[in-house]
Amino acid sequence: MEQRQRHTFLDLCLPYALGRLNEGQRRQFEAHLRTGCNECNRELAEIQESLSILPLLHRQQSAPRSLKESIIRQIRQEEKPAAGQPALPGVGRPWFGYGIAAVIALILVGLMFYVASLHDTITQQDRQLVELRDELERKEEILQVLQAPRINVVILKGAEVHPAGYGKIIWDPEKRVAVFQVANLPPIPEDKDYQLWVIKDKTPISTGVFSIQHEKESYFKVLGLTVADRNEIEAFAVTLEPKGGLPKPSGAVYMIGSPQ
Amino acid sequence: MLLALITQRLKQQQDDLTLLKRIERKDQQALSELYDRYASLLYTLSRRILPSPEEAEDVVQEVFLLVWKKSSTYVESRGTVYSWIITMCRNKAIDTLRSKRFKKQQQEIDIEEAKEILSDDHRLNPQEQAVVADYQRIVQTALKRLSRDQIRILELSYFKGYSQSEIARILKMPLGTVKTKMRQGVLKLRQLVRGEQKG
Repeated sequence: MEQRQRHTFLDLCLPYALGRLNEGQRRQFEAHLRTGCNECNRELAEIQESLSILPLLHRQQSAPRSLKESIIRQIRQEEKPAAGQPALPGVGRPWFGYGIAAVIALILVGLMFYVASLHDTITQQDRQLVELRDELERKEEILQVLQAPRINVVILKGAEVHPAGYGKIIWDPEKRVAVFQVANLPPIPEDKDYQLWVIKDKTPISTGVFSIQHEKESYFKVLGLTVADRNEIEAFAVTLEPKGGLPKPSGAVYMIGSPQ
Repeated sequence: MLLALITQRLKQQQDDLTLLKRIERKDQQALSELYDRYASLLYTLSRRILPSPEEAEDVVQEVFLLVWKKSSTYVESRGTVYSWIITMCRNKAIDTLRSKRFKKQQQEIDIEEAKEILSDDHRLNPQEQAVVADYQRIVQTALKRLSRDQIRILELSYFKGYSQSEIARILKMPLGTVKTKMRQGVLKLRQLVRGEQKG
């Protein structure tokens, strides 16, 4: 069974290297890499090494000369904050000169703020587009699970630490993929993740990590469901763990549900 | 011949590692040397992905600033410094491409052009030529070993960020064929990188 899960992740190495995994899949895959799986780390390294040859198939273009100076300048600026600014010479200048300089400076500052605000707006809209596209891809994947000829469902209820929590796992036992619907779980700090476990023979087996940014309903696709036979599953549970998850649960149980 | 190639690539990785260690100690000269080795490659890659030269420059700048700030996050077991930097650059450029929705016009890849390009490294400085030369034999073999379709599929995915379904639509091929050809293409590239090529 362990073998089967590792193979699921191995298949994700290429789409990961090409940036084709959605946010949830990417996080699950990276959590798996952090477990130190040699096979996947090696596979990913080889794929990235192979793909990095592709840029050499094209006519090499020299980078603009000014670029290097610009990078070095930026690094120096960041290394030496404002303290290093030279003082402006102030002797022998007529007052109107200062006035004109001040007006030009004000106009420039105003323009800079205007351009910066426009840039922020465009960046924000771009981000929204990317998020919408990711969301759409995620929904399509979820739909694929729901369209399976045979699906199983387990309801998870909030545990003592957070009784309002609610969850539902819908899985395709043949393809071993699942959709996990979560509602009313509190958002968590950046250094934490929720971790989903499937419990078999009284032993919890990790099936991935996820995080909640807003206390609204969320869906996650679960990859590599190690135990998929309803009769073998004693329960599903969600715990709060350090970022990336742990091989065994250590934190509080937030939700639990059993097929029986 | 193979031993010489492997030795050469190990030396390149060793040189890169030394530079990265110096960068970690905030040695600006080391960053400058790393720039001389990779700037044109990264710029070429970014220009292949992004139509605008300004955006390509921004990506290259961002990558070198990331190397400056996060050189300590490089993990040797996950690949060479070369592939770490190239991957970072490709991902940044693809993010920009996707967010700007530049997918309006598909840029077809011309393999004949690619072949002609191979001998054309005269614009590179000596440091860049050394890096390219390490991989040149692999690249030349790659062009002989991979089919036109395999290269087009890999390039549409790598340089344009298209999904396999999108590539199937663009090339008017069944999705299954695209998946198979992509897998075979990557496999052949891997064999070449591992030094398993026969000729």
